[in-house]
Amino acid sequence: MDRIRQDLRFAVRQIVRRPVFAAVASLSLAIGVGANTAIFSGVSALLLRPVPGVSEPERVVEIGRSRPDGSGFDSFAYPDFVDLRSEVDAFSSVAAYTLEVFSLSRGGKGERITGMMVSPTYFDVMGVRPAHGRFLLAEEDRPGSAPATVVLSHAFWSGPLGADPTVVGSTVRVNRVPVEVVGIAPADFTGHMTGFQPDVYLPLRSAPTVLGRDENVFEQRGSSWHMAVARLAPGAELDDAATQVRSVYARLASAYPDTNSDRSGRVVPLGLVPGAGRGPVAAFLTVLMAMVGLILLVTCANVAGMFVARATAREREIGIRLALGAGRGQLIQQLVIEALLIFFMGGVLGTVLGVQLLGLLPVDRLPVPIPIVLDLSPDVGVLFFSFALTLVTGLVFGPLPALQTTRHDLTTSLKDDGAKRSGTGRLRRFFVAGQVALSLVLLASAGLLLRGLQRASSVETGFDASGAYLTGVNLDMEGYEGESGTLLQRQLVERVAAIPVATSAALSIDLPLDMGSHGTSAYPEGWSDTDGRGGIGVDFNHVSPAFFETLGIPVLQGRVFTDDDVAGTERVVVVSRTMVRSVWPEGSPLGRRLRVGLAGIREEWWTVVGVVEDVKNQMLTDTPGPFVYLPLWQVYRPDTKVVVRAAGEMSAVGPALRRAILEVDPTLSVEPVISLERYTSVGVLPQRLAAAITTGLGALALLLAGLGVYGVVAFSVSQRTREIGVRMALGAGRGRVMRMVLRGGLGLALPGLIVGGVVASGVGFVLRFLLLGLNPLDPVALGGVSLLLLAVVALASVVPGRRAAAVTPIEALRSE
Amino acid sequence: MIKLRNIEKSFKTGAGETFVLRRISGDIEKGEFVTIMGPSGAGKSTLLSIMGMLDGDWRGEYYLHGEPVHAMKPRARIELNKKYIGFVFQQYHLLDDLTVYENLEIPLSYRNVKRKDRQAIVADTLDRFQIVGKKDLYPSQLSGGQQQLVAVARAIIAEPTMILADEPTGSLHSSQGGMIMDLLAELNREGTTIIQVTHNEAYAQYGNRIIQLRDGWIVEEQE
Repeated sequence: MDRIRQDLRFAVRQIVRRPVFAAVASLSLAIGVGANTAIFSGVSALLLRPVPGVSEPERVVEIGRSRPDGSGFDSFAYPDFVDLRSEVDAFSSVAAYTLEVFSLSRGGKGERITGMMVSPTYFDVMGVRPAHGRFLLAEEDRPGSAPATVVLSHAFWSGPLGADPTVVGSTVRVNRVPVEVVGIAPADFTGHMTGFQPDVYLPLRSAPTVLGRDENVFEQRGSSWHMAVARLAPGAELDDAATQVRSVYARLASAYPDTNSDRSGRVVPLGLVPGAGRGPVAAFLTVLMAMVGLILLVTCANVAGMFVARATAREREIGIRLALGAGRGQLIQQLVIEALLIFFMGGVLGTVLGVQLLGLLPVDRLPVPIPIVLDLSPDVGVLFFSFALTLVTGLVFGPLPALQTTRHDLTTSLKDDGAKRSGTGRLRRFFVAGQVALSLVLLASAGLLLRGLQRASSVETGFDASGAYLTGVNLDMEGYEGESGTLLQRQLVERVAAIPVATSAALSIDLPLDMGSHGTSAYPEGWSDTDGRGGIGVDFNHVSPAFFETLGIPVLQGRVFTDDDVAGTERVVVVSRTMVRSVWPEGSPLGRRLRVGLAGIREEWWTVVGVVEDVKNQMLTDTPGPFVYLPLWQVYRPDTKVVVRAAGEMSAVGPALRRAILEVDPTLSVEPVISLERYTSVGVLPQRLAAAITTGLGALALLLAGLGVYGVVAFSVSQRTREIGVRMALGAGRGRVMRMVLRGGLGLALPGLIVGGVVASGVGFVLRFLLLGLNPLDPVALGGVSLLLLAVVALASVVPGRRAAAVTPIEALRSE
Repeated sequence: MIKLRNIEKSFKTGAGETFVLRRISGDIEKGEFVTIMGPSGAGKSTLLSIMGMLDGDWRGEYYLHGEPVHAMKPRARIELNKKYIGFVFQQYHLLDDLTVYENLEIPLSYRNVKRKDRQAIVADTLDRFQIVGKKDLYPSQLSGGQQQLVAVARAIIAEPTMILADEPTGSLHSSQGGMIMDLLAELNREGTTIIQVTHNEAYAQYGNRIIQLRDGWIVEEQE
């Protein structure tokens, strides 16, 4: 202990006496540790933390529909869910749920809220008790019951509702349907998914009345639309449950081959990210962790190189200590303590930096359909991770220079020419080559992701986002209903289209590439739904006539809607190219009829009057499916986006659009205006995030590699001053000296470029799921970043090279 | 005390082997004050380094207090060095970042002397060398003579039986050089064996024996 205290004291003095070295080294490490802390906080928040408020969360599981090979984690058909609930005895309770966005109005004021539709057993599965009132009752889950009840989250009750105790028992309107508030959830329970904290919980059976969903979805095996969670029965394990779920699905596959032949089920532990998204989120975060892991290695190699350089300069001191009787172990201990102290400083700084970086993340401003609430505040796990990371990197990289430096024989060190020996030089060159290799891998990742994004702009989306702007108006919250709502919407479109810079304007309930969709079943005339298929699964949208023109969606056949397609006239629809290919592969689709499984209109026949191009509805990587457009003037929908195509910038169009809407009704609540390009960019959000992070890290790695090369080349030049002088005295020109130094720099980087190049060529295959179809060996990306790195290495060598070439032979020889 | 038999040291060069020391043999008894002299490149400092176990790459037999150094592993040589040997260098080689007190303390620390004992020994040594007032100064704040005084104090603080001094006065002017040589002589009178390398004829006379080296060979010994 005494020696450690002495070493620690000496280490502190080293830092105080040489603050620049300590500052540069610890700041460098802080960047690596900070990046890792920030990303790990995301990993912790999304994947590692237990779900708050849930009793015995390890006994709760998520169930998903999979393919027979076990892949996938999709939504359920309700009849399948009912069979699972009754046949799997490894579950003590099972609940179905969906995530929704509602409008809630009370006292004449409306607001947009998030919520879940759940089986009443949901709260049993989660093991929670109401803070006030009661939860949903079993009888509220019976067919046709649809009792109008709602449970509020504690946050919603205590926030917007001001913790009013009289709320329980009162009536609020959710999507215009009056519902009775029956209870308040406990404060520590915020739903079972991270990012999605529901304001309200409604019975699943009220989906037809509240959401207008087809009543038949509860009987159709062909329609998958909800997810499920379950609590394991006492004594049952997850594997038992999984086996039983697969066995039920095997029976269903035999009983209902038309709908269930390619279905099985999966059971996964409850996590904050839903089972369906956990795989992609984990893969994405793994990639990010790998990236920041690389930058940590780069910074560690950089700092280790700095320690080697400093140890080289300290060889005399080390020689003296050895001569005074220090054992090699004692010296290594001293040098390692010095290194660990700097690593510790870097770790503390990095943790602070990481937490600050997290604060800059605009999680709440992401253009996603459902508001995200993400608690990224660092917890004990994150702090432990940062500490462990610092300790491990310190213990790995700290001793290396110490081991190398204390290996030399003493006589040379004490003669003061120790710095001219090659051992530490080799180690430093190794670290620089490592930095170059790691930098190339990071740069290649950034290059591929950027090229992927560049390619994204050329992917055929089926619509034109440029030059279009949008906002949202929900008339549910504004007191308009039915005819008055349609009238106002028509006025809105006319007024917005009359903005001087506008070329067209439209309303729709959905927009492409926003990660969301509206799905139901369609029943083409002539299709039999007696076999349990229940029609064809389609996405749908309610749009005003100029929607296709405003979004630039090409019309392939027939016509689009007109202002004459109003209630009381022939009911018409426009369908997508893939819908035609799936349903009417032969003959003209025009004039064909179909029914659409939406509450209130499912018995009506709709005639196809036009065919439009497929659009990417949720993500850029979507494969287009059948799509049906319904005229908004024939079926009123209160919650719409207002889209305008205009020949102007956001600064001009934004205020004009807002002004135009308020001119129609000054009391309307208007969402902020954004461009359609930005709104739909959520479809490539993972790619954009990954590209932004890797580009930043790549640039940093490039800078560090450049500094590393510069350091070694400059050191080498200072060691070779005499040699350079002799060469110049013998007739070598400045150009030749310059070339010699440049060659040395490039030679230094070459092993790193080769190793990094080999690894980088494999990176594309790992990142393939983010590359939007780009060739993982894209020569432009890989070649470009290699050339960039080479240029930086050359630049880093040119500076000391110029200095070497400027030395006169007399000065050089005097330096000996 | 020291027995050297056919000590040789050489370097491999492109042209073959270049010898620094050739067949060095001889004995040094306890309490002797031996001076090694010779022109530059004769091998004086190399011989001193071998005797001080700073250099382990040589051939021949070397016994210190009867123990065969040539057969020892590096760790055992370090232990032997700690037990018997103190060094004084021409360039003082004080540790720049340590105070005078800490420079004196460090050899004791490497010998695992307890903190309390270290404090007592360092205090005695500061007193003996009359440098108590300098104990909190750094080497850069001392004159050359004062630095070498501290270096000698540091060399003897762990009570070695032998001090190896490599041109201890080489960087000092004559008055300071004389003071250091008087100090070494006094230590010798108290029983410490001194082996010094010097170019200075006058300081060579402090020893009871002079060994002359040339081109790695012992060419003459004078009592």
